[in-house]
Amino acid sequence: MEFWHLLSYPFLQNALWAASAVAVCSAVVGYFLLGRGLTFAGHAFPNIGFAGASGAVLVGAPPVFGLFAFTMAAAVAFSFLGREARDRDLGVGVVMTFCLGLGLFFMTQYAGYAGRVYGILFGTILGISPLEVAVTLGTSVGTLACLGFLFRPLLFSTAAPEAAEARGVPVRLLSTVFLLLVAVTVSLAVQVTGSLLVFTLLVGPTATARCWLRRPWAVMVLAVGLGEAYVVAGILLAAWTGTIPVSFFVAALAFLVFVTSRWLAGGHRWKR
Amino acid sequence: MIPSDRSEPSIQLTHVSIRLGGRSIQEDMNVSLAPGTFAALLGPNGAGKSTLLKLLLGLLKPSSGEFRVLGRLPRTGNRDVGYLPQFLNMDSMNALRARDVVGFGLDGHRWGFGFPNRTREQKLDQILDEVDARSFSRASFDQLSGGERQRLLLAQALVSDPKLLLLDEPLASLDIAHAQEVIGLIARICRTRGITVLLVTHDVNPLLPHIDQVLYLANGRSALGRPDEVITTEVLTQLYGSRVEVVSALNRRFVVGAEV
Repeated sequence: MEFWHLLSYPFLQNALWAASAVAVCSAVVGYFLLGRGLTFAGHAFPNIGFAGASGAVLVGAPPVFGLFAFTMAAAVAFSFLGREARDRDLGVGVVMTFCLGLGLFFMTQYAGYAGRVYGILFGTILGISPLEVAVTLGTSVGTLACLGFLFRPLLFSTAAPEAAEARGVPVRLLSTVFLLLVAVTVSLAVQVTGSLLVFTLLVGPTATARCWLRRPWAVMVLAVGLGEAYVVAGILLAAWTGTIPVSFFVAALAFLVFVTSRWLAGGHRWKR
Repeated sequence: MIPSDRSEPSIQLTHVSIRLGGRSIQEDMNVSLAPGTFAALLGPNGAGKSTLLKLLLGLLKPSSGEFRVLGRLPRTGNRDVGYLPQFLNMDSMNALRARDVVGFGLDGHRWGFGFPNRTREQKLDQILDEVDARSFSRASFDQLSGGERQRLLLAQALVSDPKLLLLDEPLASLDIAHAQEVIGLIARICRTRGITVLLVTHDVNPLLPHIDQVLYLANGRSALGRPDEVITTEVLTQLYGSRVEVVSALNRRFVVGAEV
């Protein structure tokens, strides 16, 4: 198949629009996720979402409803887990494994077409409908607008939570709202990469960008660029080969670029 | 410094009791700090030093008693109170430029991105000059020494032009030379601006030449007065409720005995 000819297919344009929006949100959310030491929660959200999505499939509802319901409930639950990293990660782990079990239960009870569950695990971006594209774009714009509005207090309360609280920043509320934004972003990203590989878009670009740059703005811009590059390349390569899924390319690219960056940049952000 | 009738105390606690998680931390505390006082807040771990700062900042509520900060009830977001925190998320702080750290104190609580403007930059330069930090204002936080970092955090607390500064262990991780440098700066700011400073510390000795008052917390009780009045065998023995000896040597005071 002629490579550039691919771009004229509507299904591919839909995929590119939706995945691009998701990549931008994921990279910006990912920056704060890393800064706030919430990467484990970032890993847990899509697994929790998997339970929601397979539950929705079981009752015959669109999987995305289950995704949103479960991840947002988890966001509220996580916001009560406190600031201590070890306690919080234990709580997150307990909730996550329970939800994985729940997802397995829902999946085994579902007698229908297993492809729907497979799609939740590994992504269905090439089959995304125009309505889903519109919802994804709208939700992404809303998420980015929220992050823009919260930008300074979020950065302040990430770096110096006590000082921010004393200055009048509603630190606890902000933390809950941020977790809700992570939940929304993860729910959108599950469509692109599937719940098993969301981490590559959420954390991969920021982790790589932090090998090269330091300032919040610069890291976010580079992470957005990397995330975009991964999804666009992943979608085009998947469509071109016809048999290899998008999420494989996205995960492989994110991994290769990260490893290369760590190696070339000497990982100055990681050494202590 | 003796509180005069004409000026309202910066901090006034009348019969204040503090409880935290069911445990009584302070009983019947009476404290009055006059404007312009430089005071050290001393006491063993768990005596309630940081808790007292949180109360003054409006982050916690006292169990009973009357609590006044600059003549009003404590509240968060009060620009008249500057705060230097003990806890920082170093991973996030390290990525910031020195002047961004100070900028938090100016508008970190405001919504939105905040676009650069000249008034803001001038205000930041002015405060960076005051703490002698202008020369490294564009350096990354992790490239700076402990003393330089504390000067920036001090600038962050000062940038809203507060009347009261609450400093939670600004000397904690500094060697003697850097501690002296930071103390000198705090004392200078206290005098030139005429503001009240309450500084939490474990070692009062480097502060002795500069401070007016000591607020000593221990064993659920407190003592306030000049350093030579409070850091004595008699007062501290009474405070701790067990035998404590204050030893003076080379113009320094050491508290010996008890779990100090």
